[in-house]
Amino acid sequence: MNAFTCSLKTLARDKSTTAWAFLFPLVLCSLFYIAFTGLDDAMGQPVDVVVVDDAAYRAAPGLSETVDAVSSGDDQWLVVKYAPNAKEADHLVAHGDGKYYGYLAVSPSGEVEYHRDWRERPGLDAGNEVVAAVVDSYLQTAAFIAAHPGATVAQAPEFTKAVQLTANPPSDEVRYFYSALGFATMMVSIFATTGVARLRSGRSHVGARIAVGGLPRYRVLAPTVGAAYVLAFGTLVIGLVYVRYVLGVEFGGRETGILAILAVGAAATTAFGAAVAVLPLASGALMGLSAGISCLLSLFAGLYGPGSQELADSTAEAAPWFTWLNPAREMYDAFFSVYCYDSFDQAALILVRLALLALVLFGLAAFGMRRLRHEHI
Amino acid sequence: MTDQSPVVEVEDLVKRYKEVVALDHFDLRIAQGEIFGLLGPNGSGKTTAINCILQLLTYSKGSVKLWGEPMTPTSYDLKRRIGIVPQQVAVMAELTVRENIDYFCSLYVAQAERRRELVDQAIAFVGLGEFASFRPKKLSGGLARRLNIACGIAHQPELIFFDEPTVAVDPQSRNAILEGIRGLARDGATIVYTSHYMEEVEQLCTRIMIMDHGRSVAVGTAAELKAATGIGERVEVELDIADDAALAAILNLPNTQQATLEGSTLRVDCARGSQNLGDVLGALDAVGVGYGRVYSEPPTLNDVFLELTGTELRD
Repeated sequence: MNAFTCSLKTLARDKSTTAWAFLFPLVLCSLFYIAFTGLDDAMGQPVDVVVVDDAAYRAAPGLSETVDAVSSGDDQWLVVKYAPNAKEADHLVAHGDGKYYGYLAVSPSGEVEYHRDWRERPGLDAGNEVVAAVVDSYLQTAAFIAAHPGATVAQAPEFTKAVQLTANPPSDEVRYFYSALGFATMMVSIFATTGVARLRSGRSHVGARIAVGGLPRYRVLAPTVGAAYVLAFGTLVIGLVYVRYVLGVEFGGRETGILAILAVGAAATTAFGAAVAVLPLASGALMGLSAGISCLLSLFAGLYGPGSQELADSTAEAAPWFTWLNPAREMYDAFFSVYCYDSFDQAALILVRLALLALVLFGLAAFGMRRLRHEHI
Repeated sequence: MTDQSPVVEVEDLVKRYKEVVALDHFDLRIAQGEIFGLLGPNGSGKTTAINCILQLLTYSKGSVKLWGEPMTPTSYDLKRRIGIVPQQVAVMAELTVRENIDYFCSLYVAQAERRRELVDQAIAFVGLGEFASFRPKKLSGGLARRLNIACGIAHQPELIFFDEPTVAVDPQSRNAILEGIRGLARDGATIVYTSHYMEEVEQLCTRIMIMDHGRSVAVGTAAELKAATGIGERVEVELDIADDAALAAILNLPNTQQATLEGSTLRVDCARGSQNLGDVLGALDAVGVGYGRVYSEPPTLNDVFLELTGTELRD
């Protein structure tokens, strides 16, 4: 018990280890919060367009009602500026400093046309998709009115219905935070790397001193790995609390499931850290290696943006075995399984794989420790 | 020797690092209660020998027995009777003085109650009471060395290896450390002590081994080692003037082994004899060279060491 307590104190008081394992992921999550929060909300912003309010527009059945409906109320899609003719509308779009995405006009033959502004700006695609959706909606309504003479816009049925297929709605924001939690789980492996490296008789004077002590190696290794695990899991819990309650990121009420994943993930990455620690390298290099591998594996968990996410998804499809060997990606998948699926079956399967990976890595670490000898007292 | 039963028994030990022979058929016997000094130039095999005894290194040939039992990497019953004070301060930087001693003591003693007593005793022994809650970084070099010692002896081992424990320590701390080691020996511990400080070894050790090239080149008490050398006496005379005739006269004396003149200081190594000082001064009088201060001393351990291991620089 004393060895466990001392290991706990030693690792918790080691400033560089704590900075890498604890503060770095928290800072990253905070940066994600600044960069990505509101990503989902961006799609809901109303879009500025110009509408040519001429005779053709007023003659189009139900169009003005549709435009009025989508440019007012709580669910406002458009902010409309009316122009008397196409020339004026074109002028407004061209000289509006990019405010207007384009203009809507009705051709003499009665077709609704959207003249978009081709200049690049943030959110251009999303804005044009909103306008296109309004036009599509109108065309469906117009077809209904044509088929039902005397019908009004209000009588037109809703042609599309939102159906939620997953337990929680998909969210780009949550995806980034799941990647960040996977990365954090990898980074806490540094606790085990530092703790076990210190026990190696060949690499530190403290290790040599411990090696000549009266305890079998497993009785020194086990409390150290145990302490590293407790710190790793504790760090992740604090990280989760920070993301959930300080940054306010919603995880769809599946926090208990996420905690279970973190518990198993911390075991896998602690084992990974211990296995790294027995490699024949200097202690500083081991810590760098542990952090480096964590960053690399997080690339395949989509941590670094859309490109990284595409790479992660295509790699997972092409080489699923690589995913099984990557705790960051496994954690990410497990988080998503818990978030999206009603059942926990998929997450349980991933956790079993992570537990097996942990056993293999612990085995490698124990074997590596047995082979260590030291050269100097 | 207080007891002739060997605590350490090493026979025919051979350790090779590829082409380099670090220990060359090395033998060692240390009896109960001895303070045994291990001397040798850098790379002579002292640390390798200790590491092999402690099973931190494998070896190609030979045997190591402690208290008559073969020592293996898993001889935990034997290891629990051993303490080690390494040359470098090997403690946990993040733990306090008390926590460090407690941690290393827990590698040998499981009972927390008993350990508390031992830790208190160790802290008192090295005089770190007022620094018990300090972390090692806050300690001076001498205090850190004392912590290093406390971590090695807290469990009250019967056999203690001290590997140059007084390096970079001020004279006060050195005296305290040496007195402490004598105290441990008085309490019945067997001590193996390596150092480059000859006077220290001469004062402290009951028996001394001089090693070179992985072999024992001499072993015995300090007096025995001195007696085994050819040097009987060293005479140093400050001449009034540097005179080659004086040097020639000294070199002609029958007991002179070597004589040098550095400035006006004449140094003469003489073979054993009762009249050396009188002969040297007589020869100077005979050639009419005056002199001031005169020193005469028996050979030191340093002389023995240099005679046995040579003056060539080592790594």
